[in-house]
Formats: sequence, C-alpha cells, structure tokens
Amino acid sequence: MLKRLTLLAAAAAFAMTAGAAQAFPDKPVNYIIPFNAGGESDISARLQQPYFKKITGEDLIIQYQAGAGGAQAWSVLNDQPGDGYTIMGTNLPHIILQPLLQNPGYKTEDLTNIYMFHFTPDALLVRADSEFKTVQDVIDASKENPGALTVGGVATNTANHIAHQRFADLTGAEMTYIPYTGTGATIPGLLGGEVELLWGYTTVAAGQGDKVRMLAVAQDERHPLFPDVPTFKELGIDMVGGAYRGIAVPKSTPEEVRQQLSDIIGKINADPEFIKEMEDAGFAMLNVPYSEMDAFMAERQKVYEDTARKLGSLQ
Amino acid sequence: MAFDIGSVLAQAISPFNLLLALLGVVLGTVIGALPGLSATMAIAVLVPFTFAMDPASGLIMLGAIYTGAIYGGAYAAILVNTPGTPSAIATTFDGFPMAKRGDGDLAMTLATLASVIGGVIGAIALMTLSPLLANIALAFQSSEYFWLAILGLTLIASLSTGNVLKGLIGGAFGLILSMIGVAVVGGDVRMTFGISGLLGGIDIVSALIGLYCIPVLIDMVARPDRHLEPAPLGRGFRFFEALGHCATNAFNLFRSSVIGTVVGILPGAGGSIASLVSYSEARRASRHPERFGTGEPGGLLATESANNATVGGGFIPTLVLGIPGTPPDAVILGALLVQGIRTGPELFTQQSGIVYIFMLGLLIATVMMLPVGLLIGRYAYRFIVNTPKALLVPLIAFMTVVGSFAIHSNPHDVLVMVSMGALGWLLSLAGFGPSPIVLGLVLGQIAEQGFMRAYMIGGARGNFGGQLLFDRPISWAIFALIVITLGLPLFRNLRQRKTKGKEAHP
Amino acid sequence: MTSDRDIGGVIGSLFFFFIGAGVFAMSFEMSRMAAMFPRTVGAALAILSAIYVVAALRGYRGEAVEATSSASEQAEGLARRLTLLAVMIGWALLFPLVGMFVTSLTACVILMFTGLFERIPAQRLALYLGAVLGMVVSFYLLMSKLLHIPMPRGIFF
Repeated sequence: MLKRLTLLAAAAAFAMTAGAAQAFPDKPVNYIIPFNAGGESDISARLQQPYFKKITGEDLIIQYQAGAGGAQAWSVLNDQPGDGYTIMGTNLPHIILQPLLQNPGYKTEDLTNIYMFHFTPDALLVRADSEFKTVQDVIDASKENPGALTVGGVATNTANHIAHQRFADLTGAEMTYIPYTGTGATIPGLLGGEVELLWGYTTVAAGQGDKVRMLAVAQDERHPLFPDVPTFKELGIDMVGGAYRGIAVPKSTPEEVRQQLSDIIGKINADPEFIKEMEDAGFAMLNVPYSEMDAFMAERQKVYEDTARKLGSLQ
Repeated sequence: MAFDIGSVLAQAISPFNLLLALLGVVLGTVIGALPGLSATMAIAVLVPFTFAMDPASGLIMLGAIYTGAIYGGAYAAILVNTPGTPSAIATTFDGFPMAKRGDGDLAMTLATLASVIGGVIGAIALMTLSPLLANIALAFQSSEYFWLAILGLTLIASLSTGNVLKGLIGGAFGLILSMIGVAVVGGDVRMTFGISGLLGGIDIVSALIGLYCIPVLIDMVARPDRHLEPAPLGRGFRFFEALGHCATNAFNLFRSSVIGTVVGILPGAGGSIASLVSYSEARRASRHPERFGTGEPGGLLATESANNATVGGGFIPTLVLGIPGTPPDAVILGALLVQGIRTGPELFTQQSGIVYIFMLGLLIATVMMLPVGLLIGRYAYRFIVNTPKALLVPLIAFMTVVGSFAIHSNPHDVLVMVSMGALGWLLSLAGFGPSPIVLGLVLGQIAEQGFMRAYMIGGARGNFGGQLLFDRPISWAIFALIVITLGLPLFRNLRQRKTKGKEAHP
Repeated sequence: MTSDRDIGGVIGSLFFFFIGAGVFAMSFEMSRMAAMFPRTVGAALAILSAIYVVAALRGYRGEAVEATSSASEQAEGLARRLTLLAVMIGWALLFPLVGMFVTSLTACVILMFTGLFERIPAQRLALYLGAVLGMVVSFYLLMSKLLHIPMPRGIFF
C-alpha cells in the first residue's frame, strides 16, 4: 500500500517538474558533502538520492570532501562551475561560527545557500540507567557541586559546545564540557560512563534506542519519534536549535537555476515517504527555500554571535 | 533465534552472492593496492548500486570490497615501501626489505596467508562473540586510548636500536606535526601560519605516501639497477615455504589476530594501532628481535594478520552499538540505515538473519582472498619487477600525486605529500628515518585527546590520577605492557654486558 | 664514512631544536587546554635535539635509525634525484592551475626520461611514450569517471 502511495506521489511530482522545467537538470548532479561518509550529512544525502532521481530522472552523485570541519570544501565552493550541476551541503552553525572564530578561508556570505531542509535538534542525553530523570535533576546536581558533572560533546566551538554554553547561561547550571572528535566517539563516552551527560542530537537517540534517554530536546514542538520527551521551551528554558543542514551552490550559478534547485529540494522535502524516513532516523524537518534564506540566515547569525561572545572566543 | 541456519547458508552461498563476493574482493584488492584510493572511497561509490540489490547481496559486496582493500594495502607496502593506509605502516618494515632482496614472491604469499588467517579469526569473532565483545568498545575510554597510543609509540624505541635518541627526536617531531590545525580540545588554531589549507591538519595518508614513497622514487632514479631483486624463475608461489613460516609463527598469528580483533573494536583508533601493537608484541616475544625490520617473516605475518582481523573487529561496534569502528564501517552503517535496517543487539536476534548472511558473506569473501590474492599478488610482483624503470618511475609518481589528491579532492594534500617527501629525504640523509615521524603523526592526536579528556574529567571529579591510571584496570594492563616493552631490551642489554664482563675477567 | 662525527645528525638535530623551541614559544599564545601538549612535546624535542648535538660533537654516533642510504651513497646520481624532486614540486604546484591531465602527462614524460639510463631505439621510445600516455589516460578516466573525483581542470584540462 505504501509503495503504491509513493509511486503515485512520485508520478505526481514527476508530472509537475516535467511541466515546470524540462531543461534542468539533464545530466547527473554532483552533490559534495564536506564531511566524511557515514555522518548525518551523508545519511540525509543518501536518503535524498532516490527521491532526486524520481523527481528529476537524473542521478545525484554524492562525493566527499572532508577536512577542517567542512571548511576545506566550503572555501573552494565558489571555484566550482556555477551551472547548477555542482551543489554542496552546508551546515549551521558551522558556516557562521567558523568565520567568526578563525579564518577558515571563506566568509559566511560567500556561501549561496539555496535551501535548508532539516535540522537535528540539540538534545541532552543520559544513559538509560542514569539517576537523572529530568532536566531539573541535572540543574540541581550541578548547582550543588559546580563543575563536577561532566558533559560530552563534539569538539570545541561547535553546535554542541554552543548548546552547552547556552544551557549554562539560561539555567546557571555549571558543568564541565568534555570535547570528543565526533558524534561517533561521544557515544562510547556516554555509554561507557566516562561522562554523565551528553550534548547530542535527536539522531543519536534514534540510533541508540533504549540504551539512552533524552531529557529534553531543543525544538519548538516535540519530535514525532519521541512524543514523551519534553522540549526545553516547555521547561521554561528558551533553547531552540541544533545543527541545520542545507544546500549551497557556487556564486556564479544563475538565479533561475538556484530557484529550480530550491524547488526540487522542496519537492523531495514534501514527499510523505521521505519525511517518514527522515523522522524515523531522528531528523526534524525544516523548509527554508531560497526566497526565505536571507531572513533565516540573519536570524541565526544573531543567535550564534551572542553565544560565541559569551564563549569568550569571539575575535 | 527467529530464523533457521539452513536458509541463511543457502542465501549466503547463492551463486549470485558468491559472484558478488569474488568481484568485491578483486575490486577491493586492486583499489587497496593503489595508495590514496581507499576502501571508504570504493564503498561510497558503490553504495547506490547496492540499493538496487537485495540488502544481503549489497552488504556482502561491500564487506568483500572492504576486506579486499585492507589486504590490497600490503601490495604497495611490500613492493614500493608505501603504506596506503596507517594500518599497513608496519608491513613496510619487513615486507619491503624482503622484496628488495628478491623474496618478494614469498612476502606476497605470506601477506596473503596472514590476511586470510587474520580475516577469518576476526570474522569468526564477529559471528560468535559480537554482543559480548562490543563491551570492549565501552570499557576502553580516554585514558586507555592514551596508554594505547603510548604503547604504539614505544615501537620507536625498538625500531631504532642503535640510535634511540634519533628515533625519539623523530617521534617528537611527528607528534608536533599531528598538532597542526584546529585543536579538538581547546578549539585553538595551532601552527597553521595563516594557511587555511592547514586548518584540517596534515592528512596522515598524504604524509605516509610522501615520507615513504618519495625517498624510494628518489633512490630509483639515481641508479640504473633494478628496483627490486627479481625472484628466480619457476619458483612458483613458494606456498609451502610460506606455510612453513606460518606453522612456526602459529602462536604469533593467533596473538596478532586476537590483538587485531580486540583493538579493531575500538572506534576510531583500531586500524592504525592494531598492527603496530601486534608488530611490537611479535618482536618482543620473538627469539630474534634483532631480525625485525630487516625482512623477518614473523613481522610481516603479525601486521598483516592483525590488520585484516580489524575488519571483523570493526564491524562489532558498528553492528551491535551503531558506532562505526572505521570510516568504511561508517559508510556501511549509513547504507544499512538507508535500507531501513536498525543496528543494535536486536540485529543479532531478529531481522530474519540478514546480519548473519552478511557475516557469512564476509567470511566467504575472506577465504576467497587466498586464491585471488595469490594470483593478483604474483602478477603485481612480476609487474613491478619487470617493468623498466623508465615506466615504473612515472607510474609510481603519478599514483602518489593522484592518490594524495583523491583523499579529499584537495590540491593542498598533494603539496603536503611532496613537502613531506622532500623533508623525509633530507632527514634520511641526516640519519633520521621516516617511521618514528609517522608513528608520532598517527598516534599524536589519539594520545593528546585521550590525555586531555582524562585530565579534564579527572579535574571535574577531583581525581586526576585515578581517572588516568590508578582506578582503571585496563590501563594498568597496558601500562604494564609499556614497561615490559621498554624494560626488556634494557634488561637483556644489562645481562649481556654482565656475561661479557665475566668473560673478560674470569 | 671518512668523518667520525655525525655531521648530518648535528645539522638535523639543530633543525629539530629550532622547531621544538619554536613550538614551545608558540604554546604560550594558546589557550590552557590546547597548549599543554605542544609545550611538553616542544620542550622535549628541543632538549633531545640539544643532547644529540652535544653527544655527536663529542664523538657519539649510533647506527642509522632505519636502513636508509648514507649521504655518500646519495651523492650518486644527485642530478637525477634533484630532477625528480623538482618535477614533483612543480607538479604539485601547477596541477590546480594548469589542469591535472596536462600537468601529469608532462611530468610523467619528464620522469620517464629521468628514469631512462641507456640509449634505446626510437621504436622502443615510441612504445614507452605510448605506455605513459595510456597510463595517464586510463588513471585519469578511472578517477574522474569511475570514482567521481572532481579532477582540477585549470586552464587546459
């Protein structure tokens, strides 16, 4: 039954594109992931791949150009041909924080984002057998013994680190942040008991099942996969955020092609089957098309700048 | 269990799947043999094709490519002294000297046998003990990673007998190279001198290619004699001679495979440390430690069995915990997720045995490596021996450039490769070998982050010593190994001197 | 070896001494957490190198760390060695600008002649050149078409 529905949806989507734009794309599109294979960016790209083919009839070829937390690829994006056949994944807060804190070889405004399609909401995780049942437990424990609680996260000056700092600012909870190399390395740290808590994403909880428990997620509404986990907002902590993912094109790409690509991604993002796959993996859907990009980026820029200033590392 | 073994077996050894496994092993071996081209790359390219197949077939093919590629890494290490991955570093220590003196055919056969044995032991551990062994990934924490890295670094001392000081200097220099780029702990940008290309640090594989391969190329063009001593004609595979070496090294093979499996379980660190540790252990346990590094079959057997055992070991945390052990594991994990297969302990009890079909496929692919590897290895060896230098030099040089570019599609990595090569050559003139530098570079990040995390956690809990060593039994064990590894040669030295002294003054 | 002092080792150690001291100095501009390792290792490198310099000047020399050829052996064919190194450096610098294919073909042909030690008949030479061309073309296609690696095109291709 589901299969038939997808087919129908695909046929409908195909009919729509065929009417709107026959010219683009007429050959495979290269999709550069600025991270290593196997991460969230890769998995979401892999999930998009078949839908792209269904909607456009062309292949989406995924390439990896990892290095320097994405900076290596982003710094050369504008050197790529701007014909719409080279697109690159972009991540927030990376593309805002990196130019703020160091000189990564590109500026935030150098990247032409055309669509932001999902985000992985920040989440505070504990082991399933942890004594901490609620966020309040954590706040109480950390006030009793400031700095004694350890909370893991990915590297320094990253989405996790920002979440850690923002949580501390809003609640006064003082904990020690322990940086790991990547999301993969944080999980054994939590499960093995090296750290008591973990700043992660909903995707981590989705992947680890009943071995971990989320105390709260930084979303506007509860995640459909975790109806029992409260949002920080419900608890009176104004935190909405995480790692946002989208697609950018080289600067030289014509307006028309930018719009077409944005439409294609929008169609993939509207496919009910795709939405279900993404949410099952822990992602939270987001729809920021090309036309709304500037406003979205300006709002995010402000949030990250504030936090980065508090981290004390803003230059 | 919710499935029957017969159907698993029937599915795994269906002719189509066998064909895929064969294809995967051949493809993997060729890709792995070319420095810079990695299993990750080959698997990532093929993932979309497997979506069209049924999940089990796709997985078998991916697993076969992976194991083939790790094995293929031995080719470049033995024949041109160039490890394409950190896990093949120790293979160059004895493999290349063997090839150089005309025993390349034996070295290739030994590498094949060891890889198959290590791979089979790793795969069997994966099939039978996974849920149990997965706990190792959780038991090893920052402090254990730190001590493991230090254990790897002790190899410097044993590699540089005769001039430990120069070895230590090279190792410290390698550690400094490993710090270049954005620091994970602290977030500082260290020693990039404003070059944005250095933010990501020095890529280990391009440094490996440069440090090991460029000096070999430079030597090749200097003299008209052959690159490798050719083997006498009609000697065949020297299969039984190799089997004989395996028999005398039976315990070495077993120990190295177990080290490979267990260390392979550790996410992130496994591949590079496992073969170094097993090499060091083989050397320590050997009755002729002085022969290591000059073409000792035992050294080659240790590293090759260990690095293929990491394939099975690396899948254990990937499948049981959903934590990928190595980059290729990460790609396969991603492919599993997209197929809608959820990893976790349930994978071993439910899900209609797909994971068993995959593991059986991996085992079959590993066994297939024997005939495939012997044949390809023989041709690869003959090719390198018989190709005139005028063609071999541009071929290898082109591989180094294209290979180091391919890692991240980044021209900067090629520049790093060539500069490291030039530096390595100049340093070799001053008597500093490349291996200590490489060990420092490969293990530096693991050591620094492990130590810094233990330091920060210890600081938060007010118990630094306990966090680093005293409260951690696994750290005790690794620490004891470090002391033994460093102490044993000293002890032997002392005893030798004593006996010599007695002889001199009766 | 004619000299009984390890001059190469002294020069190398001096180089390492300055690197170690430099890293030690640089560590004071880093944050506390990021500075710990560079400071320790930088100091260790500087001290070890200094010890080696002193020891070598007083006549200590160990064997070479690995079986690398000594400086006197290296003098043989020095021109060819330097040609190879120059070609590799030029290759690495030029291919992003000029294009992977053209640079590689040029470099491979130069290296072919560098690796050629005797005069060979014209027919053989043509065969070699053909082989080099075939090799560059096939690897280029393998990389760009099969593995989808975006090869830099530069001004040519």
